[in-house]
Amino acid sequence: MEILIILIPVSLLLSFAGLLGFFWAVKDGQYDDLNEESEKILKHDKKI
Amino acid sequence: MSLEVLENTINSDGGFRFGKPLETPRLSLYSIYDNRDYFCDFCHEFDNKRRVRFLSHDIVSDKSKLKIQKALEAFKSPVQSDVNVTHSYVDVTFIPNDIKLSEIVEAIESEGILLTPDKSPQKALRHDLMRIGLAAFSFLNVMLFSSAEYLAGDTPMDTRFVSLFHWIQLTLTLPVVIYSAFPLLRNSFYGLSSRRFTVDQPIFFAIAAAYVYSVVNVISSSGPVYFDSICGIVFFMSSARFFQKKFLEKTLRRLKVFDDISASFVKQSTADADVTFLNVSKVLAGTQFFALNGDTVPVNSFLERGLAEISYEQINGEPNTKFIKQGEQIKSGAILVSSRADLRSDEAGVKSYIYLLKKQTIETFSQKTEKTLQVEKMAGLFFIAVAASAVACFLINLENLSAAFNNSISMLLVACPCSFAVAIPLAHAKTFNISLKQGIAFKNSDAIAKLARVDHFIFDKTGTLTTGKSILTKAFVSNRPVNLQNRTEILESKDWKIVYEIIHSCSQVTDHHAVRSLKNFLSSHLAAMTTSTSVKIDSVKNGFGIKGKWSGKDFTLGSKNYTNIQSEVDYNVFLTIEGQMFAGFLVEDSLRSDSLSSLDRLKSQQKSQQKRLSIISGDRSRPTLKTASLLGIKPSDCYAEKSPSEKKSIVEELSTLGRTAMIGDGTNDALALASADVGINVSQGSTILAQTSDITFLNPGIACLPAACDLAKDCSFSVRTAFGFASAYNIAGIVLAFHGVLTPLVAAVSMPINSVIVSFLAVAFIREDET
Repeated sequence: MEILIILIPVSLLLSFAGLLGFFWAVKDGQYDDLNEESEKILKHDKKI
Repeated sequence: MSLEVLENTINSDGGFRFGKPLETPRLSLYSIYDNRDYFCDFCHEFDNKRRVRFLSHDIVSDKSKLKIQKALEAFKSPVQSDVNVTHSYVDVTFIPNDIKLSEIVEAIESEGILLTPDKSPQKALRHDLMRIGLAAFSFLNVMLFSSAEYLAGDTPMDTRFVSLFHWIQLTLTLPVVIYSAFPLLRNSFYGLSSRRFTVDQPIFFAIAAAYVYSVVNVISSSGPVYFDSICGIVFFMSSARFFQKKFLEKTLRRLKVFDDISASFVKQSTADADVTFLNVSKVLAGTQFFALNGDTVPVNSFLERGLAEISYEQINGEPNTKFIKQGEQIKSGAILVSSRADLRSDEAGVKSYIYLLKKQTIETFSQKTEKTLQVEKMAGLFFIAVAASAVACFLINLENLSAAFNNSISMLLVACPCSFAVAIPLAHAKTFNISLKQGIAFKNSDAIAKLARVDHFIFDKTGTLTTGKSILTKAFVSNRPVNLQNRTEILESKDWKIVYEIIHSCSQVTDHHAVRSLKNFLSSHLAAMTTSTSVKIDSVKNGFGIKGKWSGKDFTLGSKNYTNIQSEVDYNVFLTIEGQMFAGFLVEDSLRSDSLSSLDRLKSQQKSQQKRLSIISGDRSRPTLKTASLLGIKPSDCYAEKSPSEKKSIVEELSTLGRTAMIGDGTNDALALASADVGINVSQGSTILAQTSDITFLNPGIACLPAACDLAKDCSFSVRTAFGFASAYNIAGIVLAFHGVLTPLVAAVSMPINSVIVSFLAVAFIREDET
């Protein structure tokens, strides 16, 4: 049973890493407009 | 200015504002921003001034505008307010060194107008997602640890593990309570501070009570813990709200159809050959502007010079184009198909058809209807009842503290009235969404409910059931009836040549609809014939007839009385030569192609309910009765030769017998439309009608009517079903919880499931018409 002392923190850490990854993706704007990528090709290129 | 810049300007300015924030931060939050060192994303600073935009449900009329002005007048330092009733927001500009933001908010809110800062929706979306993500993460992990305890069953677990698992659950649940459940806390708090009962209060109190009780049990190492329930309820609630928001956003995207129709700007030339852009709301009658190929003409305008080709496809779905000559009018919403056209507006931009229609549609979504408010009130009363029952339940079971907590918490969780508050907006949102696709614009949610209950449909005739255009339907020449379909007979007839020559000459001196329709008929049949100079017009009596000479002989063209004809009741326009009858014509309005099928569909829908159909027309009784007989309407239900005020009194009288819907297209129907229970406007350009009606059909005729009735009925049915289910569920849940049958976990899981089912029921029966 002592293995749980290691397994529990490891599993929590892993899922916590997943949560952090999700937070990063949200803050990075990857969820802001889910339709954008599919429509991008139809739009005008932006002028630089 | 490049096209791209122009597009961006229009999108950013002409975009809809969805003035219905779900959360309402209030005064205490603003005091943070009195300190200018704090960043606030809704403040704009310029020239030592600060401008803040607030959204508010309460900004709905000019009265609220006056209230805001009154509130701000009290300040010594000038505070400028720019109230937009259409979009329900106010821009407040002030000098932050002299006055605090919280003072302004306090002053305005003391007038009963609750404010919400206009935050970036993107930021709100990100927070929503992170709240759901965090709740999901905690829910899954907490379930993992709590299930170990549940699965252990009667075999006692190692107490060290039990304690450890509880502490881990407590730690995992803490961020959920603080961050994911924050909107619930905030809404409950604001609701309480403004003495309003909201659906969030029972949920939040249940969560808070369960969390505190669990924490106490963890610290004292005794009694049950409810961390899994807490995480579950927060996760389900946040997800349900998120999807609700998304659904409303989808509806909003459909509404953007109006944005596309309504160009928000007109283009004006300047002296240095550059282009300036003027907001439509600032266009006055007589403003000169120009449109380029593909542009929408936002206001009724006259063509200043040349020839223009336009299409009303955006308005009526007809792909045909039309040529407009110099001086002729182009209606609001037309698209220019030809190259540049110089135009002069015929009306102020704010009075244009498209502008008003757009305004109404926004109002539909930004105003809470009477019914929704009633439901919220009901939900509030429901909460008081549930809270009282929960307290009673706690007190009754006081001997066993654990059971007392269990039962009362279960009761709070299970009886959450959110399903009530979710059902109506969802059902209406879906109805608006589908109806817009089908060319039906409901002015407000009440219109849907009212249309579903209509007993009596009253139609205007001309323009609504008929095309409103006179055409030649019957004729005789030289005492011989003519087959109007036989082109050869007409072409070869010498008599028709005489008729053609006379009508052609008459059409140059009068614009009477009968002459115009005769000329149109003849031109389409006898285009090959040459015109004659042997016709001389002597006198024109408007509305009666024309006298003149043809090859030296006197002729008279006109009504029966004007031409002194004794018989021939079947015709309404006559031509006499030298006092002798030469030809007779029947020029009349024709039925719209879709009128008969639409009324048939309407009748077949309502076989069981015996709905009445009537016609009220300003036209003479013969054509009105004829139209009625063609459509299968009883002659006793026909009201002919009625003035606008007579139409109004008839509709008022009929409204006392049952719920009425008046369907009309002309300005002369505006009074009748306003006095009927439901006014339906089928005109394509009447601004008055757009204002006084409850529903606007975006396509001409009544083709949309059966679909609109279907939708309204589906919507009412869905709302009733959802209500029935939610009521049954809540009553059953409360009874079970009271007797301790329902555990808090089951209550926590079934509550959001109930919300999902109710949401599903609210939209499941509203279907898009396939026909």
